[in-house]
Amino acid sequence: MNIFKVENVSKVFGKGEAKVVALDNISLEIEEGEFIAIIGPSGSGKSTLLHIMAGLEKPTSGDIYFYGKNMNEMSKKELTILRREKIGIIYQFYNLIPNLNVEENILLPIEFDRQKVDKEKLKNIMKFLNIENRKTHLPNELSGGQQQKVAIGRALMINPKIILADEPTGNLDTKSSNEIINLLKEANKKLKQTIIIITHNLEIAKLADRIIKIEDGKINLN
Amino acid sequence: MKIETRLSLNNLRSNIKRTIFTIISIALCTFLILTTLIIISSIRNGITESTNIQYNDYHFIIKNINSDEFNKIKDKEYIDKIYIQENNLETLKELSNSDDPYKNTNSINIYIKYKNVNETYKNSTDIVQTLDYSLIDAETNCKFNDKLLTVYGLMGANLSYADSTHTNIIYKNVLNLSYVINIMIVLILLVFSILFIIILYNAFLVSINERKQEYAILNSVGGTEGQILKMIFCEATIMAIIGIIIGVILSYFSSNIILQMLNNILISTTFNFKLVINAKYLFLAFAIIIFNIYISAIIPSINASSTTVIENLRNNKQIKNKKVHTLNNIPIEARLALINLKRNKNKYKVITILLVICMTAFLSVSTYINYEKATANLVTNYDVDAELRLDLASNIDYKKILNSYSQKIETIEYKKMGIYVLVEPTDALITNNNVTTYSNNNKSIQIVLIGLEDKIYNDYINEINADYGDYIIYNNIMIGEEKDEISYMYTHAFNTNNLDFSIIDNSLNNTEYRIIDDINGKYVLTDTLLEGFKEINNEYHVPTIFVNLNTFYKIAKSVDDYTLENKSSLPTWMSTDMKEPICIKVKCDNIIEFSNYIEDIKEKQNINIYTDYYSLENQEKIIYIEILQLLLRIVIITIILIGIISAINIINASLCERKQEFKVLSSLGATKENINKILVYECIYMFLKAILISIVLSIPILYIIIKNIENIIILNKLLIPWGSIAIFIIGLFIISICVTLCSTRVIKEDKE
Repeated sequence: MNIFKVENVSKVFGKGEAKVVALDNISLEIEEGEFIAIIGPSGSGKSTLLHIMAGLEKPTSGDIYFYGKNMNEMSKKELTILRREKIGIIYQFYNLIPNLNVEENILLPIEFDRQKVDKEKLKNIMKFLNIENRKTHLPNELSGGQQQKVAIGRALMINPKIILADEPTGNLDTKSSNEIINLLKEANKKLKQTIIIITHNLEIAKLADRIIKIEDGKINLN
Repeated sequence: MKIETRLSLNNLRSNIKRTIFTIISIALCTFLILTTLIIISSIRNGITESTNIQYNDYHFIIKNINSDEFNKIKDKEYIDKIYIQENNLETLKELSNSDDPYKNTNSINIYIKYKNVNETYKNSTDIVQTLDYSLIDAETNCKFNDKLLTVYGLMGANLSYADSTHTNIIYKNVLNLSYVINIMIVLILLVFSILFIIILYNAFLVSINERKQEYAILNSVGGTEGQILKMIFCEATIMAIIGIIIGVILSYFSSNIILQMLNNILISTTFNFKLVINAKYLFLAFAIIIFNIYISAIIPSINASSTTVIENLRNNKQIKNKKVHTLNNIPIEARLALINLKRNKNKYKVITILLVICMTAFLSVSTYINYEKATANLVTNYDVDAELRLDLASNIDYKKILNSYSQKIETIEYKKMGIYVLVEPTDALITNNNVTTYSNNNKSIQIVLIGLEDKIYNDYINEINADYGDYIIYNNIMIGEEKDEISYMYTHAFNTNNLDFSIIDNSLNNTEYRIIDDINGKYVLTDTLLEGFKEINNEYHVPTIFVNLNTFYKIAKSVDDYTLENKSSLPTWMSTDMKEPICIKVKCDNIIEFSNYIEDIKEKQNINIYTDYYSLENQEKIIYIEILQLLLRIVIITIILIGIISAINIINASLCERKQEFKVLSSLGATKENINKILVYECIYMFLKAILISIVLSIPILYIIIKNIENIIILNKLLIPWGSIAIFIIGLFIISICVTLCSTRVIKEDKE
């Protein structure tokens, strides 16, 4: 089943001389269970595509369907709830809340959704990510890799239909990068998690089931 | 606990400095508004209480009313109580609540107190119409207790016919000052509220801007705008509760102290203010405070939520790429400071505005107080406190009145009359003030003749080396325009002692006169004024001649004899003007109390005493200025404190935002001193800008102050307190620099 169907999506920033076409008439489909890597040079539009899929930006033209529902027709609140319940996001710079500890950061979307906290699930996720012994630590007390694991945990906690990861290893050393990618790969295999990851690293991209290459806002390879 | 509440508490704790500054700002703003309303309600209550003393709390007086007329009105439902005076000299008695008709063959005076003071004029109209009074009857027999009614803002009423048939008369309210006072209170609260909102808006703006990225993260993981707004309101509520509690406590204690200080200033009056918390005012205060807090929080939070999540996640700072022209030969730190200020105008606008508010307020208030003090000093050129004048024919036992006054007073009795004298030689007159030239080239001038008791007369002649029997001419007369402007310029009237005066009757026409009598004797010109008569300098535009009582009576007899002979041909003003009243100068310790005593007697006993309370205006003015100074200083200090706290908050936040910038500069070789210099230059630029704007804003304000004061006094110099203003600005500058430099410690604390 298609999780995402992107139809002729374009995204233009600015006007006149400052006009930038970030995405130019892109179309693609994402199936459940896929592990997709999006690669491309800097400024090719990869992050823009990811943001549009996450509902953080609206396309200038074209439609994007999430499980058959047109995201352009959803309100800001509906898109936010969508991210809360169905789409997990992982950023390059972790974007954890600095005043909340590991456990509290992971539980954020659950608490916003007023769901009852499944302590068992939380424990399993932290175990899976190997951060159980850091659960009361604040982000500034963790290494980069550990912080990124917390971000993954936050994304996994909501049982998302899809995880969107924007250069999750971009700020990490090789060892941590490998750890993160392995975790994502494992989440995809064991938990049948659909994952889209943006990366510059071809080695990481090769681990994916499908590679999409974007250049100058167009898909060159799929 | 809900996630929003937990996040709010976390934010408040983690940003403790920001939280404390915001709470202090809320507390001070609460203090300002609440204290204003408490003081107003206490003063209003105090004034009402002090004037509502029994037997003094009546609103309307009807004199010489008979029993039948009285019985027509005594049971009117809007009347609260009636005091009766059966004899002009008797004290008032309260009428008992009885339906029985009042019986008294003589006319009585009644003093009516209404249930609702605001309907005084309406009820009084009903009464005069019930009594079927004509306009003249009402004007003669009816009077209002203006002293009490003024307290309620009722500034008098005009008596006129209700319609063109001229059958009914009506009292029309001249001005309801109470309404005006309420409008002024609303305006004051509005100004304070605007200040409140500016300060708090910026406090919240700083806090929200610091956390824009965090809000974006929360939104990206599923926190809706509504939930994020809830968080902000939760923070605002927690800070508001703490701030308001502190503000209320501060206000309660401060109000007590302020009222005590006011009571000390007003110790010579009957006023004594107690702390009175009016529930209506309290409710109003809290409504204003809470409204201001939430308006201040909602605007920046809505602005924050309107920017896109992605922009906030990227933490894009809005910097305008403006071309900035700087001088190349100024130090690099100065150039960087100027570039930063010009490209981040919005951020630094608030600090500039706060500085402008503080400076303009201080400049305007201190100048106004200085000018008011000058006008108070104007009216101090008296050496007695009051003068009473009684008609000789009135048979008032003035000695009894003065002896009955409970405080110690000193009195000087003398006689005074105004006469016209023909002056010879003509060229002895060197003034044209009040001089009439006749067709035969003779000139006459009006003079004031004062007859002194021997003791005082002898003191005078000893002082100026004159002889007993001499006519002492105080030669200084005031010239200048009358009415609203006082011009303190003097001239001499005469240029020689060799004078001959003849008293004349100049009532015929401008060209003719009749001689009444000659004043033969030795004239002595002097510039020395007798002790106790200094008001002559402020009031008389004609020369004054001092004589002993014998001489005075001789002259008075001549005039009286002439008046008797020529009664029928004399105009009324002349015959009354020639009478010699008894004049008494009074020195007392408390002119306000003395004036109240005399006015009370005049009213109760219905007697005519002409009064001049020389030092009353000055005393009242001094009290007014002291009260004004106290209240304005409290307001200014609070505003300045609020301004400083806010500026600290904003400077602190701004420096935190620039941590990265300072780290980069540091890595490029800028030392701590270089960075401090950049900040000092920024401070200097903002200050200079604020001073310029303050001067521009202050000019029209000062112009209005000076123009208003010129209606009372013409001064030849500017009374702007340059010294105080300079000290204030320098102090403010030093505080700003210290805050800026102390806040740079945050750079050292960051270990990253």
